[in-house]
Amino acid sequence: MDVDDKRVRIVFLDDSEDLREAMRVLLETALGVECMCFGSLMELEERSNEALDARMAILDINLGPGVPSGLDAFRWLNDQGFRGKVLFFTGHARTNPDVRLALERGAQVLEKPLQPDRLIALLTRALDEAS
Amino acid sequence: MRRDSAPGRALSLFDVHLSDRDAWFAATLAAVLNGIGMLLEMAIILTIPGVPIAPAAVSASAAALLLMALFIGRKTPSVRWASVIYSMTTVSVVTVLLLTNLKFAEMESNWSPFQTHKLGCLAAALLAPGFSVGLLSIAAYGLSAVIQLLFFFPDDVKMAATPSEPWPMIAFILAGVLALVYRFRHVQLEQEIARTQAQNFAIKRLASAFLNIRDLMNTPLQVIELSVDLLRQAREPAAPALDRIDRSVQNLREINSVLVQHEKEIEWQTGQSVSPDRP
Repeated sequence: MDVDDKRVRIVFLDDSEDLREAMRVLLETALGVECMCFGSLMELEERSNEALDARMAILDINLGPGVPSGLDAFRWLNDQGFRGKVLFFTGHARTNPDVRLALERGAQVLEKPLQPDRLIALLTRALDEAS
Repeated sequence: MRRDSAPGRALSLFDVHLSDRDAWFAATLAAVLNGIGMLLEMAIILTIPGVPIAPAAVSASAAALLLMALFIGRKTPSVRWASVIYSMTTVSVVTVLLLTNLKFAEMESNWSPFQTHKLGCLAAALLAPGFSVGLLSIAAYGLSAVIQLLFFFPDDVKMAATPSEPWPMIAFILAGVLALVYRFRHVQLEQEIARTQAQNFAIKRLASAFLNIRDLMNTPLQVIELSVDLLRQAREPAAPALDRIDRSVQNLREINSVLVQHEKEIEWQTGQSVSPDRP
């Protein structure tokens, strides 16, 4: 993985502003990547050119009531021809049938909460696979 | 359907109750059967001189009155009053039979002994609004016939008209009791299934709530994990990370208050409290 390359970009989609900020700091300091954080699919769509250029997208599933979910974002990325790796980072993935469908389409699932070391290790490996 | 026993304990058949509406309907059917039956009885009696018609007429009138009472009370049905009315129907029918049996035996050459008592045993099994009332009703129909035959029928009538009794009558009593047990066992199973389905529904609802809560809790936990890790390595001022931790702890407190709302439901499911000790 080319962690020193500032052009490596990761998309992080989560409705928690605190988690977005914590992940941004973690990813940028530990992996040296550029982290683009979004709170909703709408925000992601507004910056689609930059987002679709990312090497990896990390998506929460539940983005709040009455708004498109991370699974909708996954479908949107697929429809837009996103070629990077997709990871779901969610609080409960095991029982969600949509997640199982996403897994069959090549997505990967990480369950919150993960210890930072473990999270970094998993993301590093995922970035390696994506490159 | 009512539920009178503690959760998880098998009900005895005496504890199995029909719904108020079903019990009312059963008592109504019994009264209708009594009314129609007594009209038929009167028609038969008219063809056999010497058999008194008044008891059947009184019983038919009683059936009409009971039907009126059932109709008036149909909006507020109850198992208790359905049982009372059903018992009055039984007493009314048994009285008529006891008053006319001997005359039928004496006056009708081809009298089939205690046919109406036998029909009553089976009808009680099918229509009784409660298990105990059903047993009493079968006993009233069956034993009244047996006792009348053994102690109140003259020997010549007994030998001429009812040579094989009381054994067929006893067989009908047993058949009535078995049918009654079968019917209320069926009701008991239906109630157990309904209770289990209700519990399953509640458990599924709880499971869904806890999955959502788990999802809600895991994000602030993740924020705390990451923020603590960043604080350990920080060379920059720690205030932003501490603010994030504060907010995440506040989120967890709010989630805890959601969990408290589900406490009662958990207590209902398990039958015991899972609440922490409180002052």
